[in-house]
Amino acid sequence: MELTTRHLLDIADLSPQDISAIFDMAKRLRSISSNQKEITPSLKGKIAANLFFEPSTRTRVSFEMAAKRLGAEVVNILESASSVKKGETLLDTTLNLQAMGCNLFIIRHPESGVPHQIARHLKVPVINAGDGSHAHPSQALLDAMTLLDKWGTLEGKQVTIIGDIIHNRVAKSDLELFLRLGAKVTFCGPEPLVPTALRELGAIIERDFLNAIKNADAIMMLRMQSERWSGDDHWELIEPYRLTREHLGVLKKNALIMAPGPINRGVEIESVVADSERSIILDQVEWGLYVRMAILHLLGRGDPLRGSAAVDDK
Amino acid sequence: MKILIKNGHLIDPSSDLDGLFDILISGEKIEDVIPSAKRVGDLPCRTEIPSVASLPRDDVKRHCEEARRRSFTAFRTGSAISDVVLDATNLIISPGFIDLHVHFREPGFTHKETLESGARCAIAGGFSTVCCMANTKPVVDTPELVKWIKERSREIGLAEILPVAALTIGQQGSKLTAMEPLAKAGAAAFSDDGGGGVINYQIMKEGLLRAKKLNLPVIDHCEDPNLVADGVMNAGKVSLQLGLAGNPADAETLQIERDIKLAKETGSHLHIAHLTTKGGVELIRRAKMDGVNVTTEVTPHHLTLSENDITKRPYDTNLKIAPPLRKEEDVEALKAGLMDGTIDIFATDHAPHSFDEKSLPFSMAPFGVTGLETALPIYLTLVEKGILSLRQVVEKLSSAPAKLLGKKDHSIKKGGRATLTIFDPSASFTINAKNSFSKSLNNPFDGWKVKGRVLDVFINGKHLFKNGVLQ
Repeated sequence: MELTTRHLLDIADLSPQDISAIFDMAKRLRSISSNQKEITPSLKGKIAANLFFEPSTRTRVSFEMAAKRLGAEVVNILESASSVKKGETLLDTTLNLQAMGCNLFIIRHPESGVPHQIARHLKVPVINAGDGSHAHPSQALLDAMTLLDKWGTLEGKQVTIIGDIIHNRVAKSDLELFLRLGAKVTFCGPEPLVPTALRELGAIIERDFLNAIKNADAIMMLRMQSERWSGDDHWELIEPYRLTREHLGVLKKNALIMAPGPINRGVEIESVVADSERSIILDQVEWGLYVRMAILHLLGRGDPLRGSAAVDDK
Repeated sequence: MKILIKNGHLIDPSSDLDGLFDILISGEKIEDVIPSAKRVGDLPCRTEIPSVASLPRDDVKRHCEEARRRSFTAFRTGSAISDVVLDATNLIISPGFIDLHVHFREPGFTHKETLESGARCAIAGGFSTVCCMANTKPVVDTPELVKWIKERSREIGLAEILPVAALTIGQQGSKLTAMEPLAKAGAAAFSDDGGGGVINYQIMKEGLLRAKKLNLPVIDHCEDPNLVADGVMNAGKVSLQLGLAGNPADAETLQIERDIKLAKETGSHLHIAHLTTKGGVELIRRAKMDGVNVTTEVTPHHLTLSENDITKRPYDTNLKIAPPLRKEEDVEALKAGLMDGTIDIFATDHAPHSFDEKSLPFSMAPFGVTGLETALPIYLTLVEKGILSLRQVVEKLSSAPAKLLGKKDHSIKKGGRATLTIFDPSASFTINAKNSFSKSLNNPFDGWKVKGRVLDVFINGKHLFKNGVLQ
């Protein structure tokens, strides 16, 4: 099985078959791993370049561990320690790394669209690990995978995402993927952070926090993306949209609590809630590893520079 | 040297000519414009037949017979009158195109374009006159710079480059330039296009009043910078989807509304640059009905591209333009505005930026696209779609902007200046940005299959573009 897309830049790149293939592969990899069996190093001899131009712990390490567990070597390039600081363009950096034999690029950038712009010039796959306020497809896939693991299906489920939606790339990729998987998605927050125009993307907009949480099957709390604000101080606006212990009683009996991380304890989510039994925040992180392994495995094998790898996934 | 252009379809709205005519050029002037007796179907396109004067004696008889058979005007009228005959069968002849809105980047940004490379683009696009905006470095806000550009234009000797002077010093929006000396030096209009915009109501009003005394238009790029803020594309569904900061349509319409009010109060000629919004079209339509002295222009890209194209070509910075590509409904409104005459002229807003600059992330790359060389075929798509007639396209490309600039002699008539453009409306080709005379590659129509090719350009009798080749 190979994906129909060469790059993973956006959820829209993936066909329904691609999405199922990623989920199936992630499940298989997790079961191999939990049975203490060895995972076939399908990316042996390959080099994955992790280019992170924005701070990240989870995503960068998750991709790095995923690539290593598949046998790939990983080079980490951080903006602060790269020639970009000397004035080299990011495209030149990637072209140089490609010339050195990098087979796969994992790119995070603070500006929307940069992975798209780079991918146009590269021969090898590019994975968008988060670009500006645009998209974070691997996060959406792992979020969906975590929920599928709990529920079996997303069909008819109500997922509510709360907070700074406009600046958040996870919210947009989640919306796109969850809708495709049959869920209903509600965005909740104040107008400046949750513009009504988001309705045009298929989201339900709810301004009232209690209304938003009481019917939700899963609630995702977003961090305030203060690094993307252009001057305005939105902290006051978010005050009525914090999830605290008082709200636990309002939620549906089996409602799940999620966060893409990092969480700001005591800001959007109180510790008691984040650490409660309803929280699946760490399940998300665990699935993140297997989902990213699946993505790397499925995209990395079709590398045109090397042909398909010798090791198959039987 | 005399040149006879035969059997071309002459369209000159200013002299109300639309039909098959033979045009005899003598030196800088047009000696005669005569209706072609009949179409000469058997002449292969683009052959140049020397006149008898330049032939060896033995060939004269044969040549005369051949020519008679083909019923040349020269022989019909009884004398071999020209040195060169240019067959324009199936071709359109128009007064030279005029572009009221280009950026040639010199002085200051010559890595993007120079007056010379820009003038080459102009000729290749069929333009005999272009007006270059003042947002250079330094800004064109002194009579010396205006004179220098005019001098350079003469030295280059291609398309006529008319400088548009800044309305405010340094295009900073706070103090009016010395408008009278600028006008005397040869400024074609006043505009802060490409600069900060004139936000101060009082300064804009005073600028309009002074321009009125000088009988020149004020051209305004209507975008309120406070509403544009960080916006890099049209605000709406697509900007949310792509995670890019939006620039609302209100930024344009509110500024247009203010400007129209000022134009009404002052009676000055206000020209709104590159109209993009449905609301803007409606405001100008109403203002014209009220008798306000307002005119406007539209670019090739705003007529054919919308924000949806940024989804189809994600983060292609050659779709990053100010004002931004709007919604489909805005594009439709612009077409309607063209049809009912609300929109007076075409203008390209030719805005070259180097490949390196356009390779920046979408949010950081500079605004603008080139357009001089591809304007005609893009405008001709409107004829194909039945939105405009060929005559209307020619009018909005030549006689209408000529009128706006007060160029009274810009028509093809006996005794007039021999400044004309010949094009083949049905020649199809694929646009390749790399084949441009521009120093930049940022043409948004790269790869488009289009119809309509400029073949010849004469300026004051000089045959500067000859069968698609710059001379």
